[in-house]
Amino acid sequence: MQIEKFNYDNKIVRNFAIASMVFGVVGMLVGLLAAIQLYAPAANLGNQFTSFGRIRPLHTNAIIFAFVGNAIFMGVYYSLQRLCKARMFSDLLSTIHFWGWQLIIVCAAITLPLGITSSKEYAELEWPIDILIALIWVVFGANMIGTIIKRREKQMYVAIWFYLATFVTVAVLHIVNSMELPVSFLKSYSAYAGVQDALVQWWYGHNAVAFFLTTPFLGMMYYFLPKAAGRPVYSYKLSILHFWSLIFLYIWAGPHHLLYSSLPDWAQSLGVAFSIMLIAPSWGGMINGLLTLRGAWDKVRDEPILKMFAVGVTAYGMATFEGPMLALKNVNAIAHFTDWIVGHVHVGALGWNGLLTFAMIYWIIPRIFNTTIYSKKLMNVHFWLATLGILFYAIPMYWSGFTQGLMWKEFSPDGTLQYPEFLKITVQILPLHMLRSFGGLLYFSGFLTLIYNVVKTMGQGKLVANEPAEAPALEKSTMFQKGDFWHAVLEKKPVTFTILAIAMIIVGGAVELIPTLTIKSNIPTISSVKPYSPLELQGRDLYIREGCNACHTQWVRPFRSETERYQGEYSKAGEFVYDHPFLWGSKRTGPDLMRVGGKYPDGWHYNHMLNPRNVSPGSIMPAYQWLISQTLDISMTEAKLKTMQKLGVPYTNEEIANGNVSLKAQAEKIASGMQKEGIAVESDKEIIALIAYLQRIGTDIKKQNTVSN
Amino acid sequence: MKQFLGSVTGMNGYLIFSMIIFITFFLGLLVWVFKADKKYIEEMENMPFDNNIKNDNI
Repeated sequence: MQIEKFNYDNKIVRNFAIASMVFGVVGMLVGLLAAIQLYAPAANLGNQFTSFGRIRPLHTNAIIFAFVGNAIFMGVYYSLQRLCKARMFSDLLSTIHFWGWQLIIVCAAITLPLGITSSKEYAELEWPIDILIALIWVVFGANMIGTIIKRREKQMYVAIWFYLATFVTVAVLHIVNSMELPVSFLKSYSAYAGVQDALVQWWYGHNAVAFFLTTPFLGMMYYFLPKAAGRPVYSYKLSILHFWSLIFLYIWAGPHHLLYSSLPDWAQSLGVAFSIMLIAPSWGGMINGLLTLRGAWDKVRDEPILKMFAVGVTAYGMATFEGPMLALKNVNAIAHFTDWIVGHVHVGALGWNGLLTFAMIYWIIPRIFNTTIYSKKLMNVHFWLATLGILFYAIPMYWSGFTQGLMWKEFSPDGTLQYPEFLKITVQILPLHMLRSFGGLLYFSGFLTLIYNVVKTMGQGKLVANEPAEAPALEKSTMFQKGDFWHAVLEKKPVTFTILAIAMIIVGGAVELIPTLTIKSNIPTISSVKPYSPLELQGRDLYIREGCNACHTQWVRPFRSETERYQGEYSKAGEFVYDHPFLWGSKRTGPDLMRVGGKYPDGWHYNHMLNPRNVSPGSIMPAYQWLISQTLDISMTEAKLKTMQKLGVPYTNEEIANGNVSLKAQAEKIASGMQKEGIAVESDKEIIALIAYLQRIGTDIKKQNTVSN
Repeated sequence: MKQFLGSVTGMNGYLIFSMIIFITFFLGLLVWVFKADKKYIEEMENMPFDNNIKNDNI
């Protein structure tokens, strides 16, 4: 048998590791700033670029796609080469992938603070960046599949299946959810409206967690955990079973983010049922990870890498048990929109993704630098800072979530809300938010010790950029033998394997999405619901720019506690038919705004935006003084209306041509009304458009209450 | 909400069909996993440790 000599590319692994560390610092710092802003509004720093609504997506994108994303590529490029006994397929593709991904991150870091956003959670980036993401993702996939095809190992180890499933599913999710019609180079409207947009978004959002934050990490767990523990995975058979059931079941569960919304009931029930079933494959992965450490607990005591794996995998188990529980309708009724969800997410992000990333960095860096870690003691310090950080983060958030959920729903014996004032409940939980940011600070300081330790380790070693290796060439004639089991055959055929994995996720995705997207009767229309006026549409775009939906929902659930609190009917599917994109939000840091239209006079909104504490003492909302000084850009009005018309919003050509005329007329009316109240405001300012939108939200249904199906 | 359910009766067909596909696949997988060749499983389990390669540090 011919032995072939080749080199592993370690330089690309190092590059992704450095990128992950650099953006980890940025992402965590921005997160810390956002956390502080939630009890100290002055931390918004008085300018629009650092206000909460704009930096919240910056934080989530930086953590998910920059910190975790680069860590995924680091782990995949390291393990894939070794599991395939081959160098990456193409150095050029590796380089394009690396720099392309960093370019995307830089674009995100520039556009998000500028308020250039699609407003769809974890998919905020505008259309040119979406296209770039798709291209670079394909480069990654081509490089990976190319490597698998030229491998020198007959079978594909379980880690590789997870990598393949990650690649194909993220591609499908990203493309379907990013369907949008451009208005200009940096502005687009979602192709879907209202309920349909919400369904597609949360099908994406849920599965981004599944296939970006879970499957690649499970794959890496199956490689790095056995390596670090020095023993094979507990059960390879279990890994086969849980892989296929995980990818099949995950894709259905998205609607559990939309319980008690106007999404059709059957879709909600489907989401709940599949979420419960998901416990089985998720725990299959967790058990397999933890039991790999069986009989090696003495090693776990001395080896901080294994400690990180143990706590990380446990956090995965906790989060994947909690997720299905949160998907139960009765639990969801209390937990949704509260800090509980923030706690849940961070157990996953800080525990599972964070600790596994740290463990991989500590494992990989000394090996590719041909040295040992600079300080094991410091690794232990990091482990404890991270673990304590998670506890100080999660426990206050759970406490706060319960408090919010229960206080929002509490009725007094006479049948009125016990706490009708939303702000009173917010003030109640501020100490818990302070504790949470302390937890974040602990976690972040632990991360700084990693960076110091890694820099020192890199300094004492030298990068083995091309690591020599050798393996026998793979002879095609011996590939398939008689009597091979079918899964073993599948493991030798990456393309067939990938097609089967795509089929698995398409089945669930199609059944979930297609009926709501195509069957008209799923969205009963309401005849009094009309398209937004040009000024309101501009105001809505300001709402999107400022990220108001990060803290305010537009989604009154069918509970008496909510119809009472928000003084109006619960939200109906037909109310959102012209909402490209939907703006339901997912978190109530402030009150719901579905029925805010007409609730307060225009002047109240003006004073509130100028400084929320003027009208609501103790409010934690940022001031938006720039809306009062900035002139509304009306150059795009016509283009915006035209784009909406193309998407099916019934604007007439005449309405479009006269867009700015009617915009100015409405603005003039609002401004003169406020001038009579003694507020000196000009009609061409942004605040006028925002007020016009706020006063419109959810009011159409009041005009006429006939529902036609 | 009943109005939605009534109008999407076709859903049941989709749902049952896809569950049948998955359950069949899963059962096939289960049977295969239990019948799988021990040597093959052992070989797969040890794949990350393959020491044909000089520089695989473990």
